[in-house]
Amino acid sequence: MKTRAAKNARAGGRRLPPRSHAKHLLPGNTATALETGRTRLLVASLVFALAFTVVGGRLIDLTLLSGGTAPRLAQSTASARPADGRADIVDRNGVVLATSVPTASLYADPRLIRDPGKAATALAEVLPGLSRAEIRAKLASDRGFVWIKRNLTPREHYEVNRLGIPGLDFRREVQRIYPNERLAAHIVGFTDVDTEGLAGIELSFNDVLKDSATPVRLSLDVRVQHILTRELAAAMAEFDAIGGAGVVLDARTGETLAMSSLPDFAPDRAGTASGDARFNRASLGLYEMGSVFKIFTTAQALDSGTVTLNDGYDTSKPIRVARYTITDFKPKNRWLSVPEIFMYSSNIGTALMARDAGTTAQKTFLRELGLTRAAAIELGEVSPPLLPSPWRDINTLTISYGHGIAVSPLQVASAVSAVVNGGKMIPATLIKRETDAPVAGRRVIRESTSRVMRDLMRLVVRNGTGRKADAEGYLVGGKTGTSDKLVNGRYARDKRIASFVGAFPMNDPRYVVLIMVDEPKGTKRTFNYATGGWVAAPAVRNVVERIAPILGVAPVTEGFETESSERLLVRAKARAQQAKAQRIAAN
Amino acid sequence: MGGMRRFAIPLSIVATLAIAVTLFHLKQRVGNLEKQLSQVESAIVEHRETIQILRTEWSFLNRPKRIADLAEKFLGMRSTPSSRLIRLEDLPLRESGAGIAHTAGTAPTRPAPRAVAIHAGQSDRQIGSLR
Repeated sequence: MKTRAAKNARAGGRRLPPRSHAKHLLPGNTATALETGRTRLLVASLVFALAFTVVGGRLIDLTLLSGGTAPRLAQSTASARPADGRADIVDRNGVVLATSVPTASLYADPRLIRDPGKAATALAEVLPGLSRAEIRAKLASDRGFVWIKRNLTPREHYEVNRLGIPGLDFRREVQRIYPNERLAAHIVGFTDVDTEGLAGIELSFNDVLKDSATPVRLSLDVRVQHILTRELAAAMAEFDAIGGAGVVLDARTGETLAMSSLPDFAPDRAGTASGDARFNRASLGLYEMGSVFKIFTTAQALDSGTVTLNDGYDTSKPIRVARYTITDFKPKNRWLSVPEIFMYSSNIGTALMARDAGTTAQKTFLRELGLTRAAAIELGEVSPPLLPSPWRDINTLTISYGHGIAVSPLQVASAVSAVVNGGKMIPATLIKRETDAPVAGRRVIRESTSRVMRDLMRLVVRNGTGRKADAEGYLVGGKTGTSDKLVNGRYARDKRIASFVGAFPMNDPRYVVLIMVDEPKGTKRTFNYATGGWVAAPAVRNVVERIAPILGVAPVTEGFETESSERLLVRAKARAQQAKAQRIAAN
Repeated sequence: MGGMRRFAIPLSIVATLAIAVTLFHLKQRVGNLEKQLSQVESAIVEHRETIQILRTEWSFLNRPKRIADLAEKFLGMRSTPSSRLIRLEDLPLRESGAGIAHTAGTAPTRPAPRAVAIHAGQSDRQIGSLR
């Protein structure tokens, strides 16, 4: 058999065996291994080629075919948490009451300060409030870190930076700022160095302020707050009083438009303020409010049918119970009809009315008006009223004209609101209501009783003790209150609380204004009187005149008057005449 | 297919180079955009802080006491008693008997009724405004 090898051998052994036949010469395993290897190489290269084609295709797509344009709309970068760690507090119109701003706090590494004296001189010039000696001492110490001054103003920051002293540096800190300073300081409150709330809304809403970025919107109106505070301060100054409180409420919704307490303090320096200045007299202070309570006694007696407008009582003789004697401040010494008792603020008449109504009825009614428990307002600074325990008949008599029970001015304003707004008790709130839907309140008296009370309160201002509260055109109605203060368990003759609570416009009351002045002293101008009618009522008139246009209450034109109050007066007088005639006939 | 095999390797090399260059170029662009984005974001934060400070300053300058004092000092303003407030409906119509709508087309010779109401009888600065 002629093999190739033999052929080659004959050719001289120089010709190489042809490749295609090499397979037959190699063992079988190697052949298949080579075959497998070649296939694998082919497959691998195909895979890579495919991958790179895809990458290449995508690149062409992105770069040339604009398949990778940025989204058209930017996403909001506002986060849910407040920007500087604490949300703002604003009034009902968005005026900022409390906010956090970033500030720079200056510190030094004394080890890096080369010339403490020179640096101290330069810094003292730029930083007011720090003496050169103080700064030098800090810079010359051997500590590694020392604060020079915290919370610099932007100007101070700029100036210190410009000095270019090595070894100084700034740290970003957040400071709580109160742009309106003392205004509403008791309501807004203040924070400590770590911006944790210590009083007011800053305290009661501390968690909300830290978590949510939306500002806390209060029901306050800074304009009304300013006016109320200013008139209160003017009354205090004129009558040399030691303190005062004022409240303005929306009678229909319970929103507190203003709450003032004097003396007040600056919230950024709350630490140095006296306890007396930081005390919120409007919500935390408890006072025997005196004759303003006659509103509640009369309303309850009329609503329950204990008395009608045609009834009355003989006020010529003082009431003697146990060791106590109840007299009138300006006795009329005759039979007075119910409207007259209210108009002339007769203690005797009111006490007799309350006696007829009964202790239980009085207790229940006062509880429904929110006068037996602490106010349910969004402040920590509230206190439960001082109530007699046990509540005996003598207490019922004195409570009828506001003695023997101590409540806060805020609660009184809230309760009066319930009496004049149609008879629904709506708790006072400090947060702005976001809906216009009518507020669901708890009914305490009938609407008809509320309308009668409005007329009676209007009479007090037209003809009675509240004449100085009559703001022309605004139909103010209300009640004066003058109560002697308790000093060491006895009533002091020369120390009193003078207050006036009013609502306007009395044909359809929208707002309730209360002013209370603590220890006013009579002046020559007031013939030495320092009663509610002389001290608080004029202040309320001033407040009403100034806030009515702001709040959109239009004055009524001349000649308009609630005819119902006119008629009531006429009837009351006629009834008094009738009673007098009856007495004469009987004798 | 067999006839193209001599182009396979050079083609692959060229393709690889092309892909590498494009990829690098794209990466540069993305890097630049990211840098821009981060700059814009920090600028936003800074501007937000500035706005916050300005808002606070604005509230401070607008506090009622300051405005009241300035108004009294420089504008001589006092508070408005209710006798000086009047409603549009209470104004009498013009003498000529023409209503307000009638004069809308003609050139006004007097200020519009609303302006009259606000400045009723005032030439001095006793126009009331609330403190």
